[in-house]
Amino acid sequence: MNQTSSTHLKPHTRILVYGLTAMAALLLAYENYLYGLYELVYTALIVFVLCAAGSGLSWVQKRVNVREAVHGLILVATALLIVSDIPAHVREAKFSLYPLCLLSFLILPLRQAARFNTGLLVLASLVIWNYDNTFTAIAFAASYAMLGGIAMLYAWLHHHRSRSLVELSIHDAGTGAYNMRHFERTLDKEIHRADDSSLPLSIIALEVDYLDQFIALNGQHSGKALAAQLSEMLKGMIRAGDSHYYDGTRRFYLLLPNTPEEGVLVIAERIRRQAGEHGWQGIEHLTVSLGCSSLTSDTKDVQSLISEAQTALSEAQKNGHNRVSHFLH
Amino acid sequence: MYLPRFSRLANNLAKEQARARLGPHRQDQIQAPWNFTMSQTEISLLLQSRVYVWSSLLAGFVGITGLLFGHTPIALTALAFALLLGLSSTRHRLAEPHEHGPLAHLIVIFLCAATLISMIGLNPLVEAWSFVVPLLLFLFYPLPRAIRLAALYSLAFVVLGWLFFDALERMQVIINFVLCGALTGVFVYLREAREQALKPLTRTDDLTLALTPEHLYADLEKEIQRSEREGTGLAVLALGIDNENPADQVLRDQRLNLLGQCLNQQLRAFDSYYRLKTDEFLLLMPNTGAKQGLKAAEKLRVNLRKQLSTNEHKVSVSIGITTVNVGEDAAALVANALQALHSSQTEKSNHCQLWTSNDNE
Repeated sequence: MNQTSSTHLKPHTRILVYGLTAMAALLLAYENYLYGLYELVYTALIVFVLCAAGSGLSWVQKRVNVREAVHGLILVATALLIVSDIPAHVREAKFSLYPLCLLSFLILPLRQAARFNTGLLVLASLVIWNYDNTFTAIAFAASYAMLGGIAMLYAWLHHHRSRSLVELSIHDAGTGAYNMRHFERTLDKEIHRADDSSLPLSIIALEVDYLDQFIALNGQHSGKALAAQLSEMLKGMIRAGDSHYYDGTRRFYLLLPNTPEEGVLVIAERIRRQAGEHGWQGIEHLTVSLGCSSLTSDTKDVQSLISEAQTALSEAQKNGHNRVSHFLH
Repeated sequence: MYLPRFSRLANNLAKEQARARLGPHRQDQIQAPWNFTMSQTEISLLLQSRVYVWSSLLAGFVGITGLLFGHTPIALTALAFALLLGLSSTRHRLAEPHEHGPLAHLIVIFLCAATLISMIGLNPLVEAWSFVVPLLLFLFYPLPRAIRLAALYSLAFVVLGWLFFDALERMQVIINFVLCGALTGVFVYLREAREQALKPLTRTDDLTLALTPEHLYADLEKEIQRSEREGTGLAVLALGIDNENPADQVLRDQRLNLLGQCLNQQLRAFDSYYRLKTDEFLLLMPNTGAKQGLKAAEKLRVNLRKQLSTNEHKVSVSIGITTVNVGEDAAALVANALQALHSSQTEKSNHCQLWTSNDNE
């Protein structure tokens, strides 16, 4: 659920904020038309078209890949249009710049938005200074900077929360297994613990045999469905205290505390046999290869233990698949 | 893409914060790699105080130039605003981010009043500040109150704009203000949506980085099973601060925050700590017997006393220790550890005590 909300939030916000701005521009155009400020009518109409285009573009972007730079161009064009009105109508144009500041922080990435606003601040202040008095320019710059600063605070916190969301999630969305980030963290803890208690520790890397051919034949979707089934099976087979992890593409890992080399081979063999006999949905027959590795006195860190299991796994695959192999020191 | 810059910023903020907390006489204790993680609240508070300082400087600048150019009423307003902002940038509570002091209310009231009054007098500086007000309201107050205040303010703004601006400007200002309000609403919606998504994932207490007690019994039960399976010991430590809570909440928050960081650094990678009550913590130390547990507790007690005490206040902690026995469940272990802690706190503070069954008498 979190996955979907974080990928869908961006286009939806963009469509919404462009839409709001377009509506406001249309209203402004109408008002200015009533009072006969025809230059402002043109500006507002062009801004309306630009924002409507931005809204449509964001909608299209959900399906088709469009260059992100287009949004930057839309905002820059809008900003230049409004600034070009400053000489004739200082007050009116000035007020339109404030919403643009908020808009840019909602649409552009944080750093680009900050750059955009700094540029706009300098340009608009200079133009105001040139056509109005110095103090108006300073006052405008100060209030614009204050608004921009607070908008940036909101945007920065949003960015930070999005990062924490990724950091804190420990499950793989497709299979319900733990993800790799959690694997590395837990493995690190368990290595320290095994070191302290001098108890053994083993891990298993597992891959479905000929997975690429299976996906080429049945499509990406059935590959995901298979991973979910396999995850369910592994969950049922491991003991209390063990845990299983999925790297999101093809490989499963099992973390087995207090399990020596002989023990891990027995468990791996049982999983291999069970996978061969298990009734899978949408596939007749399936085999898996497993690579095991155990903690020894020379492998004391997470990466070397994982790469040992991976080496053992590719050894098993090289030797004809559907087998268990243990890393030999 | 943002990662290196992001973590560097967080690190710098953390260092700054530590410097502010420890005061000038203990600056030498701050070392370069501060790799503990900062909580959401801390980061947002640090950024807020930064925004205060910058806004204060900006307003001050406007005030001074206003005086130079002869715009006295605007200049005085800006200077008063700068003063208010500068005053409130100094102190914040870590625990309740939305609980701001009277100064925050004063800032908001001042800003609202200044912008609304300036509309009547058509003061071209201050009315631009009204675009900032909704954003500030949502930053300062909890959501329901912020919505009410923002709605009230917008209404006042629109009505006054309608009455006092000339026809040409009226719609310009009102339409742009309403658009700004709507965009502010989007910002706030994004913030709330992220917070909702984060809530079930955060297992740690913001202030101390300790785990929250919801999962304590489940985790402890797992550890007990595992110690039985592996035949290793399991020590449960209850840790409490001996001294009275200071009345000053800012000080209390800072002390707890520091305590959390010390625990974070001094425990082993596979130990975990939970915050039970305001100043009581429960520590799970797997693969630890009674003797080792007592030793670890003594070390912790001495170190914490050293780290938490300042020149003015001596702060000490007491620790109750219990180890798992056959047939004991999680609830019994927690109760025993707490009992040992309380008896050591009533007898003499700054002390570690091992739980024994005749403590019951």
